[in-house]
Amino acid sequence: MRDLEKTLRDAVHDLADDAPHAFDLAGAARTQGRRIRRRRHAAAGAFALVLLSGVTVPYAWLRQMPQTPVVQPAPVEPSPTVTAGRSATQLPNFSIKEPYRLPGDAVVTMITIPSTVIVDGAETSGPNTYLSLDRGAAGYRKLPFDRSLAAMSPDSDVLAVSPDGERFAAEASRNQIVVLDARGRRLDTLNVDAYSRVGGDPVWSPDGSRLLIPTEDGFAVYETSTRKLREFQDPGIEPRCSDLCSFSWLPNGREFAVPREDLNEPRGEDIPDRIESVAVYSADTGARVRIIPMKGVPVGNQAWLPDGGSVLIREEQGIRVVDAVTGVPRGKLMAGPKAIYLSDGRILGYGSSFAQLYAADGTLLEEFRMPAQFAAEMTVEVARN
Amino acid sequence: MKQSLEDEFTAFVAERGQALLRIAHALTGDRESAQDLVQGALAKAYARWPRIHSDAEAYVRKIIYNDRASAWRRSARRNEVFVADVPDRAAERHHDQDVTDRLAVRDALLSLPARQRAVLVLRYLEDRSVDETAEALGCRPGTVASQASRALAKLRDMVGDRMTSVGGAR
Repeated sequence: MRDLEKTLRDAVHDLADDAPHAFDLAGAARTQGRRIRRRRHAAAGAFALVLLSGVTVPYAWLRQMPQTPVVQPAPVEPSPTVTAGRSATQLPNFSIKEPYRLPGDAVVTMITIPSTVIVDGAETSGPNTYLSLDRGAAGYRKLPFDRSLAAMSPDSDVLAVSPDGERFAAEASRNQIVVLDARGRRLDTLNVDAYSRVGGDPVWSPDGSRLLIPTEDGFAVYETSTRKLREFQDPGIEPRCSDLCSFSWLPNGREFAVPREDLNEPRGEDIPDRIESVAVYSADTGARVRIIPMKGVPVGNQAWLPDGGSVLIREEQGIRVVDAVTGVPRGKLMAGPKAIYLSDGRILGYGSSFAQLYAADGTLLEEFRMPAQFAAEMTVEVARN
Repeated sequence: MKQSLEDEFTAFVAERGQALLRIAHALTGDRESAQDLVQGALAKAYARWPRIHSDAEAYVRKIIYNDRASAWRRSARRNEVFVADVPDRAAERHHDQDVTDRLAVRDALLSLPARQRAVLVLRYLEDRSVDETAEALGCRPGTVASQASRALAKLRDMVGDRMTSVGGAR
């Protein structure tokens, strides 16, 4: 005599036994995986130029430019090149001795210099170099967060910087986030099931009083004043978060937005996930407070207009202003990959090669060429001064 | 990626690829879908290999289960109206009763929502505890228990009256 559970167990094993034989799974996964990496890389660092007509100029994949000499350059895949669409004003050279100001009273707050070399066709990564704005000293300092100090995980490349540039959060090991000061001292160790290994990175609140940490089961909020970590459960966040799963704080510092993938759209590894909305959560209660329909991911904390009226989102072709309540587009498509609202309501788009000043409706006002010292693979962070 | 990590990825796939395909086939019931599911999960793992290699299998399994659940949600409407085509026992009289029962359960299993099926695969193929199943699916243990209970109840509804004995079902 058999019971249902016994029969079920046999049936499940029968199904598993009928699985096809693995054939070159590694090779196929590699090809697909490299595509994913290129896409993430491009989204994070490439600078898509959008002409006033709305036509997208092809963008370049970032090339590896090593901090140390390339031993043997590997052939790179053919890639289109960035074309400056119109005459761009050259910005002055960067110096670590003074804050580097950008048009619209913005300032470069952080420069990340990767050291990736290609040896025999394989990428080899070394520790990043971080230059952070020291507002007190009115210059830049090199952060002592290399792997030799074991402050960061050997596999970590995530470093969240507080708005005042005095606190940093990094993944020290799996399920452990460390809070550091600029001298590399640990201020706190947070044992939390962080989600960063699959996409979401920690992000500081606009006033630097809180650190938001996406987790496997939802999110956690660390309060600097009390050094308490509160964890909130919402297992629905992770499966619906997109490839470009980045959380951003709203200007009020009490709520944050999480992108939600459109489940009705076809999905493929060679195309970006489509976004249907962002969910807004309360960092005070952990509750989801509203959903805003929009077709892109907010491009960071400073993507939100301080009065909360509109937000800059990254769409497939560039960055667009949308109404922060209804999600309705309010302006033209702009270049990326990053953008912030300036204090006067204009918008600054920027990457490591170009910066562009836009009116509030996305009309291009002026274009600038970043200093040649900012090589294309560097990551530049900018904030309102 | 460092050559040593490349080699590690290759070795991982060689060692665990077939086991992952077994899980994927139990989830999908379809060879092509199973291959796509595993390949997609391995691709994501490769893209982040330097960061996840120390816990690669858990990472890949989690993606497999979550991607399957996502795929199901996208076609939820279709799946919701799908009714298992349970084999007519009268037509299977020449088979051993156990085989008939297993076929009936297998077909019924494939008609369950992906989340419920995932719970059953984790519990009955991988012999995972409720807590482990919850961790793999990113939900609470209570959710696993309720999903398992609902899934078994559905199976019982679909095939119970066709089986010679369901007395032990629980």
